[in-house]
Amino acid sequence: MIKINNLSYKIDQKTIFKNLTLDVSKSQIVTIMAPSGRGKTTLLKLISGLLIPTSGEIFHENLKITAPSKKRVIIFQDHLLFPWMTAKENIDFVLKAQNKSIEMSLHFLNLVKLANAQNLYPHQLSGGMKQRVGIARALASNPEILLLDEPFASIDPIIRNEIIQEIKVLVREFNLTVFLVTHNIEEALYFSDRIIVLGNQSDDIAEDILINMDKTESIMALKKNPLFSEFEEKIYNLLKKGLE
Amino acid sequence: MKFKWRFLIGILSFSLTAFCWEFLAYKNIINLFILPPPNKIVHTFFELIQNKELIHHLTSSLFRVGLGFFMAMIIAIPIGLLLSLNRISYSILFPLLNFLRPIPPIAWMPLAILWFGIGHGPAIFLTMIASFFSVLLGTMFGISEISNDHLNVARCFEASKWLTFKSIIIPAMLPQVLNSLRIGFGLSWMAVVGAEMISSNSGLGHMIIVAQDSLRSDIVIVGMITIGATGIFLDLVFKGLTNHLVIWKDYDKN
Repeated sequence: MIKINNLSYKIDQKTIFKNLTLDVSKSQIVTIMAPSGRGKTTLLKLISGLLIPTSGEIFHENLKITAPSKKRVIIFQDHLLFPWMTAKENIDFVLKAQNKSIEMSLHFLNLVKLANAQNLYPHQLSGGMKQRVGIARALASNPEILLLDEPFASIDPIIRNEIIQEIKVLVREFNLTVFLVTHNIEEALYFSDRIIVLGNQSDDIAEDILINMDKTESIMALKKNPLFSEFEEKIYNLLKKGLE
Repeated sequence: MKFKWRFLIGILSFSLTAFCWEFLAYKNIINLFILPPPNKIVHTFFELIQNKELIHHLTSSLFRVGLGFFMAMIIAIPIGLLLSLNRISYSILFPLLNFLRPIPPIAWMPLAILWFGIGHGPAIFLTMIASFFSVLLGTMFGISEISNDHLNVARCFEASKWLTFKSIIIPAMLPQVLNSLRIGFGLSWMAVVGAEMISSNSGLGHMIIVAQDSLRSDIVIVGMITIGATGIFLDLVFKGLTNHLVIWKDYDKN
């Protein structure tokens, strides 16, 4: 699905990635974790096509990524809804961009249970509602890959668990491949099939961990699984090492 | 402070000034010929309303400022867009426009009279010049303020250039453009009065200069008050329009 070959990326002579190689298969949910400033968002932007690698290549279904595409949608922490458009108009924009009927926008708002907020502007929505509209907008472009850049960071913890569970259902329903960036280990363990911890400057990937837990349970129930604390400790130590 | 209190304090300040002024005039402390008392000014104001002179001059000024400002708007906004979105146009045109920008509108008056004669022409030209640069820079600043992240979102969804322009660039620059229109209109309103003093046979500026020649300081003051009140009213109209069109402006950081 996504194949990264010997990727290097530099900003102002600072090397972010030296020689990153990674394979992600279809419908896999991958979380990228690392200390702040390590290049997690940069990696998402490289996969989306918003940034071009200094050297190396990224392939999406065997096609080299050279520009952004509606097939790979990035959702940022601050959701980036257009403040001058209502929730519905934000989704209409995507449908118009793809020459689809804007009548479908209500269907996408329904998916995130926000049909009754269609005429509200982003400033009239709560943090969780904004993020839901952001997800609905992303789904409207019929993507194959969702790139989530700390999408739950600014949401109230109680609502956050609810939204994470909802998004996870949608991701499975739409058969999406997901790259998630987060600082929250619990969130990552619940959400992902695989967690990639970026290393410090000497190596691009510190560890690539398969999360082989049964995740049909809720976040709270999953926490009681003994594997959960094992993974949590392992990731915590890797992140701590990355700071040294 | 709440609006109601600010409004009441404003009214009180005006009333106190008028009262002191009237009192000083009543006691003959100020020269009534140089500074007529408020009651005389109010009397002259109603007299000028009754003989329709004030309405005639006010509508002349409004017509000129409206036309000049409209011309500035339809020329400055497209040029601002062109300069912001096209580097070559910016390199060619901006140095010239930047050179013309500090020239005060009134300095264009002799040329404006030579080009357009006496009447509406020079005043309309001056009002256009007065607001042109404010609207131009406001448009350019509005475009420079557009969030790259929003443009990236449009790129991710493969929005066409036209859709991006119509749905992102125009609304994102709107708050700055409307602010510059508000400022520009104020500058045009000030310029039209100056222009009418020199080259017109109607308008509030003309009324004031004729009143000065006939030593009617009461008419001069009525003219000045009308200019001020109309300026404030039009500014409020622009402010209301901005608030109506840009309902997200206080929340654009979400």
